[in-house]
Amino acid sequence: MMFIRITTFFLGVLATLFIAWVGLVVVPGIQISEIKPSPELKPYTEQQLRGRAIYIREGCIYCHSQQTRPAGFGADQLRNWGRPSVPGDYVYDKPHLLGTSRTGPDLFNIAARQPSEDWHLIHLYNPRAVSPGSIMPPFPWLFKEEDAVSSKYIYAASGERVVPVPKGFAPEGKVIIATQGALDLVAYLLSLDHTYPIEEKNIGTAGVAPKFESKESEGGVNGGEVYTRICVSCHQTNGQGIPGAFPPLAGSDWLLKDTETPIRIVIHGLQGAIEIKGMSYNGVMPEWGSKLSDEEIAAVITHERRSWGNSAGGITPEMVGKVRKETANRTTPWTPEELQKLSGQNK
Amino acid sequence: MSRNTSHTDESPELSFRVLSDISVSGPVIAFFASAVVWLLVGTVFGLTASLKFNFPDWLGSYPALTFGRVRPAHLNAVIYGWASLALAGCNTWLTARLCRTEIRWPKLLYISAVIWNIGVLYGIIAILKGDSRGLEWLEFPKKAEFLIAVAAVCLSLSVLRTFHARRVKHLYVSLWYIIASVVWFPILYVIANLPFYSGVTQAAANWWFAHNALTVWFTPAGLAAAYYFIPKVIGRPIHSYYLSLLGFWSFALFYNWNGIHHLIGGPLPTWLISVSVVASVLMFIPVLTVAINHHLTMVGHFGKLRYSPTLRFVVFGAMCYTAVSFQGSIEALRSFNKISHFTHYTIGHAHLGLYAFVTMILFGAIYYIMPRLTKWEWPYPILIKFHFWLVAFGITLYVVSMTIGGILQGLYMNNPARPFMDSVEVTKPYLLARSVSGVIILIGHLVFIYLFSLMVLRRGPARATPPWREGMEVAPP
Repeated sequence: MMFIRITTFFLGVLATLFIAWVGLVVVPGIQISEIKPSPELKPYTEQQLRGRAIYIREGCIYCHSQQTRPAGFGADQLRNWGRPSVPGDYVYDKPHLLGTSRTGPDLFNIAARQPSEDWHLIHLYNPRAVSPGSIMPPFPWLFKEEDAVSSKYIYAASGERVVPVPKGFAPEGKVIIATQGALDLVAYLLSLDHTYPIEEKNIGTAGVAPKFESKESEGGVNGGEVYTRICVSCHQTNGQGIPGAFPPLAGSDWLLKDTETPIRIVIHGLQGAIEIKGMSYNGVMPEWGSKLSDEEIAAVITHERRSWGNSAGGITPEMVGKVRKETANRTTPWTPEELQKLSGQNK
Repeated sequence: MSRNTSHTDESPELSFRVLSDISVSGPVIAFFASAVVWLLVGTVFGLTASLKFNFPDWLGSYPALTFGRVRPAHLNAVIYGWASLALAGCNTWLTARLCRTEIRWPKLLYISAVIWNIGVLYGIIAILKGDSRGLEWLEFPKKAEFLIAVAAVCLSLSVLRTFHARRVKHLYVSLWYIIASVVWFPILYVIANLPFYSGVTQAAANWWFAHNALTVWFTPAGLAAAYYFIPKVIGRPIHSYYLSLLGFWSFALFYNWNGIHHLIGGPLPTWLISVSVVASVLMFIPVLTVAINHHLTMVGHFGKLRYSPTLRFVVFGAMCYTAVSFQGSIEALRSFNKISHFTHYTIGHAHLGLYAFVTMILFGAIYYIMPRLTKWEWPYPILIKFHFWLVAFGITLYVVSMTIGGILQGLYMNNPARPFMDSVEVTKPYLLARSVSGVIILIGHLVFIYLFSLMVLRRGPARATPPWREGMEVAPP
C-alpha cells in the first residue's frame, strides 16, 4: 500500500527543511540585522584584519571560543572573562569566529586580560615557554631565527622585533625575530577587548551584564585571586617570572624596597631596561590602573609582597588612591630612571 | 502512481536483483573504493591531530601539519570523503534494489564520483595550505564546495530518475529516507553557502548547516541501511510499519530544528536557542520509534550476529544510533550543556554519531553489497572478525575516554577557584587514551582496506556462498 501520495511526500520533505531554515536562520537574521554595532566597538584595522586571516588560517577557532556567557552559565563571569557578549559585538565579524571549543581559554577579551605584546609573541613561538603544561601547538613559521652574532639590540635598532624567548626554548646562539605575520596576529589578539559597557536592552541571552571587575561586593578582595587572574601568565605561579623575558617578583627590589614604586608600576606600567638578580629585562609592563580598582591593586601588591619568601609590609587602598591622584595626568608607562629618581626622593 | 506493476508480478524475484546489481556495480564500486581511500587519509589525519595534544611540539615546525589545519582536514576527509562517498554508493545500490529496477543515468553517477573526489581533494589541500574559510564543516573554499554541490546534484538526479522508474507499488521505509535525503542535501548545501550571512547570523547559519548535515545526509543513510539490512539478514519483517511512518515524519519535523543547540549560552536571541533545545528534546519521539522498530525486530535473533558480519556491524550501529540520540537530547538541556559545552565531551558525542553509528553501518552495508557486485566472496572471515572487534573496541574506548575527560574538563572549567590550566591538565590522560583508541581504529581500518582491495581485485582464496545466505535472499516486506 502507498503510505502517502508521492507529491505530498515531496512537499512535506521540502517544507520541513525550508521552514526550519526560515525559522532558525532567516527570521533571526532579520531580527539581528536591526541591531546596531555596540557603540564603542571599532572596525578592525587593516593590520588586525591580516592578523585575523592568520587566526583563521592556523585554525585557532578549533580550541578557542570568542563568546562570553552570562552569570549562572559556566564560570565566565566569575573568571572575569567579561560581560556576556551580544550580537552588536560581532557586526564586523565575517566569517564569525564564535567557536565551540575551549581546549584553550575564551579569547573574547584576551587583550584586557593579557595586554603584553612580548607575552603573546613568546607564547606563539612556543606556548610552553610562558605557560607550562600547555598543549597548544607552536607557530615557529611566524618567526625568523637569526644568528646572534652580536648583541640583539642591533636587530632592535634595525627595526626588527626581537622576541625575548627564554633560555632553553630557542636554539642555542639564535635570536628570535617576529615576522610581520606574528605582529599582525598579535595586533588582532590585542584588538579583542569588548569590556566596554553596553545598553542593557541589547543583551540577548538573559542575565545582567556585570562590568569587568572583581567580586568586591562579596566583601574583601582576594589578592591571590587577582594575581591568578591577571599577573600569573607573565610572573608565573612561583613569582619567579621567566628569566630574560618577565622579571621575578620574589626578592625583587622594585616590589619590596618601598611601597610607592610597585603601586606606580601597577597603575601606569613600566617600559625600559632593568636588571634584577643579574638578569636584564627590556620589556613592557602594561598599565592596570584603568582596569583594576584601588582595592584590587592594594590586595594584589600585598599578596605579592608576602608570597614566595617575600615579607614586606601591606598596602592599603588609601595608599593606592593617593598615588593614583598624584599621577592622574600621566598617560605613558614609567621609565626605570623616573622611578629610581622618585624612590630616591622618598628616602 | 507506480509503473509497470504487471511486469513486477511476472518476473522472478532473483532476476531483478541480478539486473539491478549489474547496473549499479560500476558506480557503486567507484564510490566505495574512493571512500575507502578517504577513510585511510581521514584516519591518519585524525590520529595525527590527537597525538598533537599529547606531544604538542611533535611535527611542530610544519605549517601544513599544525593542529588547526590537520583537525579540519580530518573532519572534511571523513565527512565529505569517506562517509559521503560510501553512503552515496550504499544509497544508490539500495535505491536500485528497492525500486526493483536498474539504476538510471549511471553515467551521472560516474561523473558524480569523479567530481566529488576532485572537490574533496582540492578542499583538503586548500585547508592544509591555509586557505580554510574558517567556518566549521564549511572549511572548503568556494570552488571545492561548488564541485561537491554539482556532484551531489548529479547523484540526486540519478537516484530520483531511478525512483521515478520504479517497478514497485509499495515504497519500503528505507526509500523514504533515501529519497528525502537526496532532495534535502543539495538544497541544504547550497543555502548554507549563500553569501549574505555575517556576524552572529552567520553563526546560526553555520551551526544549522553543520547539524543538518547529519539530519539530511548521514543519519537518513544510516537509518535506511539499518531498516533494510536488519530484516533482510535475519529474514523477518520490520516490527511495525506504522512506527516507521511516525518515526520518519517526526524525524523530518524535529531534526531540522536542532542546530542552534551548538550555541547555547551564546550571543543569540534566547527564543532561537530555546526553539532548538525544544526540538532536540522532541527528538526522543523519532528516536524511540526507530529504536523500538530496530531492536524489537532483532529480538530472538541475536544468535545470527555470530554468522553475519553485516548484521554485527549494522546492529552495533543501530544501537549506537539510539545511544547517540538520547545523549544528544540530554546534551541540549541547558543544565547539562553548561558542563559539556566547549569540552571534549562534544567530540566524543560526534564520534559516537558519525563513527559508532554511521560508519559501522556503512561497513556492514559494504560487507553485504560488495560480494553481489564483484561476484566474489569476502576472503579470510577471521580478518573480518578482527576488523569488527578492533574498531568496536577502539570506538568504545574513544567515546568513553572523551566522555569522562570532557565532563571533568567542564567541571574544572566551571569552577572559578581552579586556574584554567587545571581543565587542560585533567584531560591529559584521557587525551592519551584517545590516541591509543586511534591507533587501534587505524589498525582495524588497515585490515578492512586489505580485505576490500582483495574484493575489488577478486583475489584471495575463493569461497562458496555461505549457507546462511541461501535462505535469506528475501525482499523486505
